[in-house]
Amino acid sequence: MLVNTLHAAPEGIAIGAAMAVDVPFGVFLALAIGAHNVPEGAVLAAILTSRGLDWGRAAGVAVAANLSQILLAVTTFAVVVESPALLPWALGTAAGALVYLVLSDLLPESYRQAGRTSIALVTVLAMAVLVLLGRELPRP
Amino acid sequence: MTGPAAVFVYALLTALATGVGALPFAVRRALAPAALAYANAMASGLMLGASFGLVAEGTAHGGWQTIAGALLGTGFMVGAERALRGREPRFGPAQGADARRMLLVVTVMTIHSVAEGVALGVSFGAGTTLAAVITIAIAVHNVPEGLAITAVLRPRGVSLAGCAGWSVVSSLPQPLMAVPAYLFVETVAPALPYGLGFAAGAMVFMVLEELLPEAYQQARRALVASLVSVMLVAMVLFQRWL
Repeated sequence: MLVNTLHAAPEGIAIGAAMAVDVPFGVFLALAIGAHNVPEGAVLAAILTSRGLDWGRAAGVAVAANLSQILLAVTTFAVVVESPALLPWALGTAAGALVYLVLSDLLPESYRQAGRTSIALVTVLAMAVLVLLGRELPRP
Repeated sequence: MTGPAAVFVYALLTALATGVGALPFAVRRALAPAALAYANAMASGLMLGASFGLVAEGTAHGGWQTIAGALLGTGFMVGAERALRGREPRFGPAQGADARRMLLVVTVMTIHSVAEGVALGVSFGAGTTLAAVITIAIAVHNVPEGLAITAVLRPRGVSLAGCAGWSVVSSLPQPLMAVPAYLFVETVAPALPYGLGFAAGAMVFMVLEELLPEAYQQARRALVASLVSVMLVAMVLFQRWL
């Protein structure tokens, strides 16, 4: 749970900074991170229900673990709107933290649970979908 | 220097870089597995960074075409690896399981080289900046490939020169594929986004299917993740700076 809360931090920064760029980009990133939070919540809920919590409570805890995301998203948005010079810093921090997270946690965990070829295929497909979605965004 | 001759020379240089991977074995008989993992992690970061460049360039010419190309490149790698499974060949002085492992490692690297050759050629079609980035990424990636080949061949009795030779041979498809790929996208301009996508898809798949899982097996995740991230950032910076 602590791990989840820590993970949620850069995700919040990412959403806040992206919203400050423009609304469609913010929504786009929020969708991507939302999709990523589903398996995260599933893992946490699996641990909690196996310890005897009912699923409603487990869902509540899973959401609570990610609440820091909302807080950081709002804070980042407010800070960046106040001083736009910080925008590239916020975007860079979020990108670096997210890439590191993927490499240090998500990918190695996935390789342990499933074959490399299927993991590689799923990752490439997800990347393709995001690249296409990102292209459809109206750019200012 | 531009044109097909330049493409050939650059692709030949990346092929020769593979032979460099045999050099550490001149002083040491075996190599710590972690060393190969670090080399693979660095190559992964560079190749991911280079692929982002390919995708950015490709989507500027056409988004759907780039993605179609990327899926084609991924499909090519999957097909190639399927085709390689379950062979029982002879190779040099060894036979049976040993020979199989030796032939497999050389063949796998050779097939990778086909995709890398296409990537090099296509990137020259998109301009020299992208070409320089891709050349560096592939050359650096070739060094651990040479290391991996030598690590398998050397303990099984192949001479050091032989190891370097086989390493370079495994990369010869690079110059051979780069020139036709370059000429193709130069003459058929609409093919460029497909080609860029193909190269990116093949490289990203290679990183995810081979380099990263192997790196995670031999070294600590945090270190692998840091190396990949730093190299990725370096590659993105390098592309902006050129």
